[in-house]
Amino acid sequence: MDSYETLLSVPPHSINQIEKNKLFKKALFENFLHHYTNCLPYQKLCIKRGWNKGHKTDFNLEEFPYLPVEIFKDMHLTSVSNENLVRTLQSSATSGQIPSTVSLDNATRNRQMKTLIWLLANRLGKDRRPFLVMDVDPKNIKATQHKISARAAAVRGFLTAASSVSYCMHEALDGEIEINLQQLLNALEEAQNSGKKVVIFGYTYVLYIYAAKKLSEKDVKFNLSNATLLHLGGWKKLQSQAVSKESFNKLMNNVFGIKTKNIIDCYGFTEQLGVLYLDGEDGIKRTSMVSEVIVRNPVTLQPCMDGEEGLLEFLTPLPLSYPGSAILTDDVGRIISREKGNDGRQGTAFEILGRRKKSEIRGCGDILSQSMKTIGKKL
Amino acid sequence: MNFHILFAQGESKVEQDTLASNLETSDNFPDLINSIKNAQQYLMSLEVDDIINWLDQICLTWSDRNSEVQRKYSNQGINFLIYWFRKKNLKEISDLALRGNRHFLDGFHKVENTNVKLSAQPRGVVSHWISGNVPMLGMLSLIQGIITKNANLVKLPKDNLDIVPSLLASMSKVNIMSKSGDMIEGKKIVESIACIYYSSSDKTALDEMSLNSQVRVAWGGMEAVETIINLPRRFGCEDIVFGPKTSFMVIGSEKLTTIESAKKIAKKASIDASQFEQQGCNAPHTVFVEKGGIVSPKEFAKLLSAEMESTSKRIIRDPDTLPDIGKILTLRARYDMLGEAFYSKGLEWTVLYSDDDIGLADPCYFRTLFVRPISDILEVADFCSHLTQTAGVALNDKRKENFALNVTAKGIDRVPDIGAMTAYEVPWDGIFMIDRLVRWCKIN
Repeated sequence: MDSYETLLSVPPHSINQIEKNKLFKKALFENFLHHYTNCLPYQKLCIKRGWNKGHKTDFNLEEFPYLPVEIFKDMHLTSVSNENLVRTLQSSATSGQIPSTVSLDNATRNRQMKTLIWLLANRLGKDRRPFLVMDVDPKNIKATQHKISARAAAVRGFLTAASSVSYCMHEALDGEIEINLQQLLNALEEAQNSGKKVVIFGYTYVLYIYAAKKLSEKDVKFNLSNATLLHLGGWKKLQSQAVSKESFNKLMNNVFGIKTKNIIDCYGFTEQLGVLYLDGEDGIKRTSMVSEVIVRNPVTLQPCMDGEEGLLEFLTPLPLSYPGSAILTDDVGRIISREKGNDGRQGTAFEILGRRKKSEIRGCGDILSQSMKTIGKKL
Repeated sequence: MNFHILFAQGESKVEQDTLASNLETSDNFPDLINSIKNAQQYLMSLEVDDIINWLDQICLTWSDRNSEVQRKYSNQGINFLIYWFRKKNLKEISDLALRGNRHFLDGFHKVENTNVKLSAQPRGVVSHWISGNVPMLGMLSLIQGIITKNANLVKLPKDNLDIVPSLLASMSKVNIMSKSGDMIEGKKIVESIACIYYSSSDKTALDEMSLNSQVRVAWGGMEAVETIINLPRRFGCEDIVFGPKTSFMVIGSEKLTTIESAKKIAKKASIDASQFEQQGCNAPHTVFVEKGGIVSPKEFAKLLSAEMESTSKRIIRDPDTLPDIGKILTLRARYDMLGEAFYSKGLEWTVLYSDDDIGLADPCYFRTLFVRPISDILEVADFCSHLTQTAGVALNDKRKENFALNVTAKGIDRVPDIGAMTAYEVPWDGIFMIDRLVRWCKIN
């Protein structure tokens, strides 16, 4: 069993911080050695930052060399030979933005799937459950519907944890997506007959704007008190409508009858796919055996005190095909606690507060990149 | 037209850090225009030297380290402004711009070696659209409008609503005795100035301001200046456009013969790169270092990094600055992997080097310099265009003039020594602004 498998051999939030750190650092260091040996640009960066093969293994996580998340928009870094790469992942990028790109080998894909199922099973229960996906069936997506197909790609991994999958929305004549009530009722009936508790699953904004809000307007309500609602994709699209987590949960509770403790916000990102941060029953996200979080001051880049807001850096020994084991994201958050939660879960408790503010250059010094006469720029 | 008054009748209407959303709205634009036009009569009654002496007195007041202006704006470049307000500078730039004699502003004077008598009359209302990158730019533009005895209307950017009104309020309190013994009253002078704010997308306000202008002065990025020059205007309206440009440094191998001389250049370069977080069009981003010196381009990058660190402690970043963290960290990581990166522990400064880099770097701002090796300084001419403004140099005199001839032919406007790049000079962007703010009148 390799050190990563060791981390997966126990439940995600079962071991106290001190014991976890020993195993986690061991796996992280092994992962570091792999990338150090197999990705020469990464090796150069590590040497520059005082890390080499002989580095002490009892290190502080804060000292571990990290990469900014944007580097994957800028460079294609790999730690395996090209012939072993089997898939390329791209992050969703809003118009005009460059998506992040990471390439996967089979070993990384397997780790991703195994980790995802390990984390989901811990939160949803070991038995697979029927997933009612609040989105359009990808089979029915027109080639021009890029947004829907990007969402479909992002949720695909989660569906391997389902006993069955039913899509409950369709595309209306005006191109908007809308709930297919009959389909939803059929799927619920089918699930009820199977005796399994359903999981309502989808993107946060789709669930809110196109599903729950529409159903609420039509005064359609369900009593799914045994169900779980799992949503992902972040809050950015709901920020303009001033939708808080509380108001989101209230609407879901009102429309679907799902208990707040069973509404799970899921955080994760392409560059560390497979590693999920799921709300516990207390609504709090915690790192697991395979992950750790550091909050960094956006000016000094030094670790913040617990409770202070800063940029979130996530560490995991999961990726093998690219050096993505420590990534400084552009998400802002803070650490809530390092103590065991009331629900018995171990791990660093943290919250995400939004995206960092973008700096804006304007004025006479704002020369557009495309106007630059940059000739033969090799780097 | 609805707009917000920030400064009028000699008084500031905004507090520090006031947000645009909290400003009172006015709809009486004609009254505002009439008030500055009426007050312009007082300004026109003054002699240019009296105006310059008054500005010099302001410079002395603001130089006091305990002054309110120093306290509020020492991180915003107030000392640049103080330098600019000095009598010596103002006399020099106005003489330079006005055919060698600033007194053309006071009446008809004979042009040297001719029988022609000229006078430089103010054009009327000068409208300044100021960009948000360097707040003090608004004042530099405005001062030239005052010296030429025009009425001035300033549209300020939403990020810097209070600086110019606050400085004008301070200027209103400064009075001096004229050469003839009359009192020059600061309040009466600044009554010829109004500062306003409206949204950049408010087409009615943009049109109205433009149509009431005899001169339109536009500072800013391409989109901003193009919007302004495409507004409707009256026949005869003069346009002065200071659009987007970028700048760089060039160091000749003859200046890199000892570590000490290289250090001196690096120190001056670090000062140029640390002003206004490189957001001015005169700020360097790329440093071309000629190969063949005792100090190699890579070694120079390292020396420069030491000076950037030391300068970062002297030129303190404004705490409200929001650096582009993602871009800075990505560049640092990229160059750590593929080139050489030198940087501070935090985000204070970054120096990047690669043997393979060619051409002008895409600016990152916030004290980020790209050091690039070149075989011959004249190669740089290939990178110059109408979008490049300043080439700061460390070259011996002979090479400097030859280099300057080459790069100015390709679009460069200024070739100062490294260390003087960020000084705001006349001409600027190839323009004598003071000259463009007057109408030349002649009698034989």
